[in-house]
Amino acid sequence: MARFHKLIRIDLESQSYVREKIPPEYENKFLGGKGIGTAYLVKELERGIDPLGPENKLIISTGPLNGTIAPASSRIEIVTKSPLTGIYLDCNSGGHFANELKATGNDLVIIEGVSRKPVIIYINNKKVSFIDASELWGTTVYQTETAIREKLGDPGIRIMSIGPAGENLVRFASISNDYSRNAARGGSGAVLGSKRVKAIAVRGTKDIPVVDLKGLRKAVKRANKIIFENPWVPEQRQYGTPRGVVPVNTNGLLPVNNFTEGQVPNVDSIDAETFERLTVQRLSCGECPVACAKGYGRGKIELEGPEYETIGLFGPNIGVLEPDTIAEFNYYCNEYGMDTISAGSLIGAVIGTGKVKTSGSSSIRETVIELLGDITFRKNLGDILAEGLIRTGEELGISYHMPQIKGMGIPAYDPRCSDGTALVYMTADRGACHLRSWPLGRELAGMWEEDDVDGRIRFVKEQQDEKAAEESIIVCQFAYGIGLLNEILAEMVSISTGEDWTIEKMKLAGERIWNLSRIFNMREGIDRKDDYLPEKFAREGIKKGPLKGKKISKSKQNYMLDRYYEYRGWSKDGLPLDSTIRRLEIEDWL
Amino acid sequence: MALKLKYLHIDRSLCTGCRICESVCSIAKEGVLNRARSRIRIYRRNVIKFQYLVCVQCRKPVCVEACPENAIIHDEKGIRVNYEICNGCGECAKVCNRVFISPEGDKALMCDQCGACVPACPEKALSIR
Repeated sequence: MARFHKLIRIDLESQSYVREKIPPEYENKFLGGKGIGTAYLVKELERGIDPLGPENKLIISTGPLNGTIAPASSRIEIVTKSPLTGIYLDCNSGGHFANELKATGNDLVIIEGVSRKPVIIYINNKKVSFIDASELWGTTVYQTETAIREKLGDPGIRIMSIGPAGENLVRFASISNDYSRNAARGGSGAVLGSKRVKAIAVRGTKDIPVVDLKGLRKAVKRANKIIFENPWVPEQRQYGTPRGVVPVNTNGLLPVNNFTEGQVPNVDSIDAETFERLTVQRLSCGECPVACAKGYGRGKIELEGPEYETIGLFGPNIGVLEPDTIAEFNYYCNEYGMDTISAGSLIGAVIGTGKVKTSGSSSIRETVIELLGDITFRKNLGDILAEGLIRTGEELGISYHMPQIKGMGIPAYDPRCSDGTALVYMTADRGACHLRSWPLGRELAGMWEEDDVDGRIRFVKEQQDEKAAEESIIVCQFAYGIGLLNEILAEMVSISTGEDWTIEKMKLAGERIWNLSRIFNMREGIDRKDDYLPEKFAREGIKKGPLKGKKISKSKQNYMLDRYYEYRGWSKDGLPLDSTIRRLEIEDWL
Repeated sequence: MALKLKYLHIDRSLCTGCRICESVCSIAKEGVLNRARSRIRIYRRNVIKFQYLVCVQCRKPVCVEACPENAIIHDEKGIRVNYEICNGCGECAKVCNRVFISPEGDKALMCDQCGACVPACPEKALSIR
């Protein structure tokens, strides 16, 4: 166990719900979290439906280690069809929501239909109530969360909510929890907004059914030892993700001025030490001994972060090297409820192409804050930007300069930095995403010979599968590393559930998940043609720094895709072959 | 009786809100994993602040007065619940937010300074003093 084997299916139209058993084959084949969420999405969503229409579903999914005492096991998965990309979307957030949802006695929540009025879904153990949220419609995220906890009169309630950006269907609106933790990419907040769901509140008081609690306690001791023996962890604990700023700049792959330059002369003002000095409270997700989150507080500007991605895209990418200004941008994104990566890359593109003019740093600050408001409330140019990167590119005639793949904004590492990184972005299930595989560290360390492109390609494929499994368990990569690096993960899942899991079996689940999401995307018209970097990154080299002149040619991309598809058992067009589907035994989900 | 009693102290400058203490407490005291059975609670108050709730063995314990069953003992060893008497009526929790009622409503949950959570805290934020 450590599973309840139950899901809650909520129909907003009739404000009703049913509890259903999760069939064992979902658990056996897809593990949990991302996997089971993806299996339900692929099984239940019709091809071509409007992501912001009543047919879309939003799935909140826990894994077998959520709610347990396994270290760093409190991340939550959201799976839906993205209004930003029109394809598969899963996003993953830290916080405490996962543990609280698990304690309600439900592993999964499926939200369907559209509510007539703004509503709060309140899941209290097995019971679901629908609370009028008309008064809260229009309020920002922090206020919303405090108000709901007060309204429901229980300080232990955990809340996922949307801000005005989600209500106004901004296509990269986020779902927030614990105030400043966001499932941000791809517009899951707009999906909730379209359903008129202001928030989902959960309170659970059920015993977590860990099969062998004593055994798990022993395994947790070993897991903690493994985590703290990892030489990578202490720095993560001290500095969090901003630790990336200096090495990324030194190696010349920082997004500078809309992904043109790769390096700025000096990043001291926005480095990890700076943000550590600005930290007023160290914070952590549930059950996490690493505690890499940084509580920033200066007047009303409060947040967890800023994280590396936000620093990169709202910093050098738009010409800002002022830490408090970056934190301020982050704060507005949090309060409005939108993704900092998408907002940063979009704003970087309109400033970088001169579509929005700024002069001097105070002017940039004011311009960006105004733009964030305009996007949220769909005013002026903001109304175009709210439609996302592809449509903004088309409307303003700057498609060539838009840093996006499949509509998803490129994160804060220039894809031209390495073949492996480029391939990760090109093939990620939800569009350009840095969290599916991370070959760059190994590439920089010289793990593969310069011409061993195949080594990188194989690595990306394998790690994608492992990472999909890690997000199904669900544990955090900042504690365990990316993928399934240690037997302890299989051990803890087996001890907790009484099921028989090995690393190999988990990896196979990951491969199934990766193929299902590809099949979902294929039904939406995605194939090889969509798996390339934007033309700019093939034609123009990085303009400054050690990677000056570096680009990823179209022929290199073609070679990588050919080999990658081969390793995956996909056709030349990038579609899973029948033999692959049979080998993975996923026919029933198609 | 005027002696200062020992209690579980939470160093707020160190606590990150991970709530490992809550799960450890439920296992130590109740033999199951359930944060709703914990005798210590770390609630989120806003973006960067928490509310830290655990019995601090106060000098004038209102819970003792409030209990209609006289189920809360107060002597030189400390303030604690007599589980042979406590029926979970909840009067103590009405007057003090540092004592909790079990999910089934059958008993009051109050820290007895057993110390199980102290070594489990990764931030070394807990001590009994």
